[in-house]
Order: sequence, then structure tokens, then C-alpha cells
Amino acid sequence: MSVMSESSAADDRDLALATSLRGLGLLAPRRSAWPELARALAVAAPAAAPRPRYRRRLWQFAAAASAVTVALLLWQPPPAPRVGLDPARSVSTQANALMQESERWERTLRQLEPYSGAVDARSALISAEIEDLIGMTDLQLGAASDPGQMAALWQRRIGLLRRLAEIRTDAAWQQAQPDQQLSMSQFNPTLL
Amino acid sequence: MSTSSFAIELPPHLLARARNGDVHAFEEIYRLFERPVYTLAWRLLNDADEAQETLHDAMLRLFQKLSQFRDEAPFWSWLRQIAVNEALMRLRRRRLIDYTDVLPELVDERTPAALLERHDLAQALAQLPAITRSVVWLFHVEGYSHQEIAQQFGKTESFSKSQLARGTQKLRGLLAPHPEGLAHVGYV
Repeated sequence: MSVMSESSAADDRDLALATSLRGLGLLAPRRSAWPELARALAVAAPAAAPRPRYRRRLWQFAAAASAVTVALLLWQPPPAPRVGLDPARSVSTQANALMQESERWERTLRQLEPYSGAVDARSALISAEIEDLIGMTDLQLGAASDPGQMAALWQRRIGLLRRLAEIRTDAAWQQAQPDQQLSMSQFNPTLL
Repeated sequence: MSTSSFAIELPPHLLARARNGDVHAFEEIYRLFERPVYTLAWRLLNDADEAQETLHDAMLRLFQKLSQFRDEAPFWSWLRQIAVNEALMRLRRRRLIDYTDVLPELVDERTPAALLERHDLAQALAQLPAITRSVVWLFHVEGYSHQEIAQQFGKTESFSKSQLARGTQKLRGLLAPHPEGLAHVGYV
């Protein structure tokens, strides 16, 4: 068989494969997503105040970088009062506690922001993914109305913020002591 | 003309109503695109629960971003891009994007092949590594170019081409043992 006809046969096969794959047809979800979407849209309609994004805002923190460097090197992670979903606590108390914990981690991250660019490629990739997930969680929080769901989302947000803080703390340590392999997770095993 | 199942032209008045926040228009759009979005998510993720969540998240994102749609591309291709992004984001979250993963051995539990031509193809597709399967589906079914696929994955065009070639070859291998099945697609 000539090269040309072999190539033509391969093209025919690929065309046939594409046709067969398209022939698999459409799948239907087991349940309609619309009722949940309608609820989410009803809640999200009033524009929620955007929560801070962490993506590449070094310029906002560059001025503060030198001032916090020394403090960061001495920084210990907060004892991490891990707020659980305790059924005995009222919903509003839980929600407030979770929001406060989230704010604490945001403050920590603001301090660590100068180190967000100092991480290796793998950590940068993971950080970017975590930031995306925080954004997605914020989107879901804007749409959530059920207190239980909101509490779970706040928990998730806190977990993501802590992961981000861990990465940046590692970067801060390594920048200060490049020969050390100390990781925040070594002395804070409660991290996700 | 696109052969994608997403290629549904919306009446301009429906889009206008949706842009004005008409929830009934949203619902109409949801009904039109429910199955294409779910199918795409299912084929990329190979998981019913994740496909369901992707359907929800993609549609929510669509409605929340509708004011940003500028008519520069067809509405359906914009929605499809949102759905692809959501599905690939889930793959990344799963850490399933392993560019070196190997195809598992095919467990041949199949009943007579003549009965199951489509099932065989779907099953073979599901056994491809997630990344390979996604490339095969986006190229052959959704009509994305290699360049577009490469952009989705942050890779080069040759990555897309090699994944496609690899996926095609694997599919061929998986389907070959059944001479009576899929003869018409050139795998025997």
C-alpha cells in the first residue's frame, strides 16, 4: 500500500471514529439541576460584595513587604481554633465563628503576600489552583441560602486559606533559611 | 457547520430576556443545553456525580456572567467553553491529570459484541486515561482544533496531537478483539 493510500485509510478511520463517537448520543442527568439553580439565582440576584481575590496583587503589598519580613520570620501559625460544625451551637454563632476564622486567615495571608511570588513552580501551580477554588467557593457562597451549606462552604474556604498560608510560610522560611527544609505542616499537623 | 450538540442557535429575544434577568428565559436556556453540558461533562469526567455538579456550576456561572457575553462568538460556543473549563477544573482538582498515566488492562466482561456496539465504544472511551479521553472527545466530537485543545491544557499542539493519536490507537486496540462489532468504523 502506498504512503498516500495508508494516510487516506487512516483519515477514513478517524472520520469513522468521530462519527461513531458522535453517535453515542446525548446523556441525560439523573435529576434536573434547574430547581437548585433557580434557588441559587434567586439568592445571588442582589450583587454580593466581591471578596478579595488573591491572584497576583503583589503591587498592593510591595510597600509593606520590608516591614513585615522580620515579623514573618518569627511568625508562628495561630493555634488554629478549628471551628467545627457542632450541632449544639446555634447556626448564627457557628457562621460568625467561621467568618471570623476566615478573616483571621485572610489577615495572615495579607502578611504573607510578599512571599506569594517566591514559591517554586509546583507550589505556584498549587497556589493558583487553590486561588481558583477560593474564587469558586466565594461564588457558591454568594449563591448559597441554606445555613448548613453555607457553614460547609465557610469551612472549605478556611481550609483553602490555610493551605495557601502553608505554602507561603514554607516560601518565607526557605527564603530566610535556604538550607532548611522546615515546613509549617511539621509543627501544625491540623493543616489540610 | 458544527456537528457539536451544543450548536443550538438561540432566538435573539430569548437571549435578550435572559440578559434582563428573566428567570423563565434562564430556565428555557437551561432546558436547551442541559443534555449537551451534561454529556460533555460526563465524557470528560466519567463520573455521574461530578457531571451533575459540573452541569450545575457551569450553568450558574453562565447565568452570572451573561451580562459579559458580547455576541462576538455564538452563544453556544461561549457556553461550551464555560462547560469545558468547569470540567477541566474538576479534573485538575482530582489530580487526575497525569500525563504519563497508562491505560489499565481491559477487563473483558462484555456480552456478545453485536448487542453492544455503542456500549463497547463508550466503555472503551471510558477506559482511556482522563486526559487522553478529553482530547479525543474535544477533537472528534466537539470539533476543537489542536491549537484550541493545547490552550485548554496549557500545552503545545504536539501534545494534543500525540494524545489524540495515542487515544485513537488505544481505542483501536480495545475494540479490535470484536470483529463483528464496530467493523464499520474501521477497527478490524
